[in-house]
Amino acid sequence: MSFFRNIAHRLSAASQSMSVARRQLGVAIVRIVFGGVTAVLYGLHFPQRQFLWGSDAVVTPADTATILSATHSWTLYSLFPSPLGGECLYWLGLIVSLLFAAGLFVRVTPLLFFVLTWSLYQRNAFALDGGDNLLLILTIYLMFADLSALSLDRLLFGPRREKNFAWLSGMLHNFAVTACLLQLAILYFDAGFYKIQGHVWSSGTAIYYILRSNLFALPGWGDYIWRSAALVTIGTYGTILFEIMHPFLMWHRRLKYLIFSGAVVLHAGIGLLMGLVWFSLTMIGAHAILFDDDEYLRLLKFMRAVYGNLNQAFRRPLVMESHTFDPTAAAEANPSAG
Amino acid sequence: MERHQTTRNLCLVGLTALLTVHFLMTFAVTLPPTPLTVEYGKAIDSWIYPYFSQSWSFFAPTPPTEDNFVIAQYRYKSSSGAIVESPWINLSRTLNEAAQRDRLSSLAIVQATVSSAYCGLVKSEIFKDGKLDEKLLHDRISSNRQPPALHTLERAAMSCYRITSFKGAPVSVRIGILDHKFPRFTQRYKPDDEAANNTELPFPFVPFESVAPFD
Repeated sequence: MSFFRNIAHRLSAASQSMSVARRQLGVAIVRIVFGGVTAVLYGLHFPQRQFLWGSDAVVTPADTATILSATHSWTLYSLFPSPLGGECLYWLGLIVSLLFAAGLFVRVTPLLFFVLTWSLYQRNAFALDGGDNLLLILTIYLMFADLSALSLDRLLFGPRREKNFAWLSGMLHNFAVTACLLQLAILYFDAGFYKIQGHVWSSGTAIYYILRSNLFALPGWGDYIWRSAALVTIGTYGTILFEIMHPFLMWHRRLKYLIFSGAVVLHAGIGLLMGLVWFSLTMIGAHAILFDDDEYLRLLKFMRAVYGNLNQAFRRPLVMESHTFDPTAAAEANPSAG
Repeated sequence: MERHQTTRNLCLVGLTALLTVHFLMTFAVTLPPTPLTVEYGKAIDSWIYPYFSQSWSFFAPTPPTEDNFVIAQYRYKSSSGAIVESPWINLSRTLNEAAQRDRLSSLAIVQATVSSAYCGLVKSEIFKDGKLDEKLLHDRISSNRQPPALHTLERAAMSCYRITSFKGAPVSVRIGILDHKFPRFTQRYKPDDEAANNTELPFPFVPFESVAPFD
């Protein structure tokens, strides 16, 4: 009996702990990045929207229907196939992305954001990349999280007040965060796992072929890397090592900083050298969920201190004052010196 | 109070079980096929697809070791009314160079669409063991049922016609695949001869369609 009582006691302690929402700042940063990247996508491709997603697009509505039928998927663009319908959905998608990033009506916008972004990508599945795939999956999990930190909602309407089900809201939030973390872990585990099976990766030459290919080349920058045996080998094995270590070290209190740094370096490199800019931003943004609220607050405190010091250093004028020694004044100031 | 705590505990157990099942399914669908995933494949697929479908084998197990270009050739009516066949245009290279000049270029998504459609084409039903099934292809084209990936590439080529230097109303277009093998790692200091080590695979001409401009 005492064994079961022990289990019940531990379960109660765990459920109490899981009922308090954590990592709200990290989740809010992910919301801002995802909403921002998607809003930029809408804005950047506004002149091309007809070519990419319109009624006369590069992927015809009939071809989209064929693909959706094979993947058991759907898109609102099929429900509203007219040019006006497509235009309305596009504008709605842009507005909702901005609202999502800004954190307005956060109880509703995550679902709308998912539906519209999903619809956009399913209308032209060829335009979808790995970053968009991760964005869509994490958005599903984030629909169950409390996204009200760093939001206009909090600014305009004050902190969220749950009456009777605050514990459920907290628990769902924490499970959503855990789901996001597990998804990140699976992503990097798989990426590393598949790489170690490839001969080109295990021979240390994969980075050469990727950077030399016309699709991912950056003349003048990538050349410098692929010409160097050392950089190619370090880049290839470094990528594999990082991806294999990531799913394990990301849970460690201190080593996750190393993982975050590695992610920034890897994805910044991918963005610049291979041209996968938005993919890289999405992947880096997703890592914001690694850190808890205390860590963000410590970072903010540190940045404020640095800003304060810099401010002081630049404000204080450098003045050389002439000084004549007065022994009487010195003795009065320091009587113990005698 | 105790009932409230019991509800909380049950929620915790339920959510933990759901998360465990979900991520076991996710893990199963992302890894290579195993006897377990073959046995329970239908159940796993019905759980995962379409919302959680994912593949994280970025450039793995084999990254691209040669260039795969999508090329296009046009037939257009000249001013004299004659049908002229243009030389082959390398669509992929044009888009790649635009993305190289500006990493934030809006053409990057067009490049990505063409590149993904190419991958979709070589994995489609008209390719068997890496070889094109010409008979099946002709059957599909004549019945207007070519694979969406092929049709998408043809339409991308149609949209690009207006930026070519060809003067005349376009009549038809065909796309092709150009595979170019650049120097291997051990010969990386050799310059890349774009005209050498190429294999081409042209597809049949199809009538021009109305496509929105890509820029």
